[in-house]
Amino acid sequence: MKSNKERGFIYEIEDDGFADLPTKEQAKHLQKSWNRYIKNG
Amino acid sequence: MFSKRKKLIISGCSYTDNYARQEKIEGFPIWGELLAEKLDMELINVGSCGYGNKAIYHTIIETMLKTKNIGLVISMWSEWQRVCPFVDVPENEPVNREPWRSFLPEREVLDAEWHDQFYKPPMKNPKKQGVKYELAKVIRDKHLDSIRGGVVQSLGYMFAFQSICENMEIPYLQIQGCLPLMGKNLLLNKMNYNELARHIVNSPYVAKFKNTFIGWPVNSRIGGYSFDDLLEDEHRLSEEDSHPNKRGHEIVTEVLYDNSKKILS
Repeated sequence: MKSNKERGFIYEIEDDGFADLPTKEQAKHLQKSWNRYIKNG
Repeated sequence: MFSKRKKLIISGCSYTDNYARQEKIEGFPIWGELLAEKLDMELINVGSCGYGNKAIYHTIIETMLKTKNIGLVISMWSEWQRVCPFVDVPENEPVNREPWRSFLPEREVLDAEWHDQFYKPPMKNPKKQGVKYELAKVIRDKHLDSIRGGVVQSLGYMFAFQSICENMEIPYLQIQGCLPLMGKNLLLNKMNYNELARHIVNSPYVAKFKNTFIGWPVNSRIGGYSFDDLLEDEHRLSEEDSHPNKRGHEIVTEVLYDNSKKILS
């Protein structure tokens, strides 16, 4: 996965299969994860 | 050249502003544009993505006061717990001259927390830096964003909007746009909306709104509805983004047009 350790911003999502998803699906996955967090937080 | 057409003034949040354009996704005509065309009026849309009800109220009233030949004014209200600090933007500000910096404190804090996963110490999560986050955190920690407070403030703006329009004899409509509370899980949603409904029913404003408030009292538990309640899944941008799509905007346009005809006839 893409990472930029110099700036400290690291895409290291540990969810199963995330790294294998196409970029568009990764974006959807992240949006769903965000929606879930906001709903349950 | 000055237009002889009457003006349609609207304000609201991302349900009124051109959200698709802001998000750089494929655009479509929004309800303000569709309604202006149907009514043969010139649109003045002062709504902006993110606006809370305080910002909506002030932008629409100020625009009403400085505009001539007004045909219709419509306020589409936003989430009731948003806060709206006003920034005294310098005249030479090159980037963001928008003075109203609205946000919903709970969403701001949770959004920042969610982003923690991307930043490995000692790097700092930039979402947790800046005035907006600091303010949101204090408001959350000190419980200054209660549902009751949102009801008191929002109903005050709504009633003031109605009273000013009546006083100025300007045709107007108002409607709740997005749902009044931030979406939570089923159990919390039920509790929160029961509380919202209780505060609305106990409010001194409850019997004061005229039929120019479409969907009053805004929530289905007490016989009302919002624009968002009119939308099915196929009327939204996607499963991940619940904003109204092209068809969603057409649906609310039909509702607003039908109600416009009643008050303009």
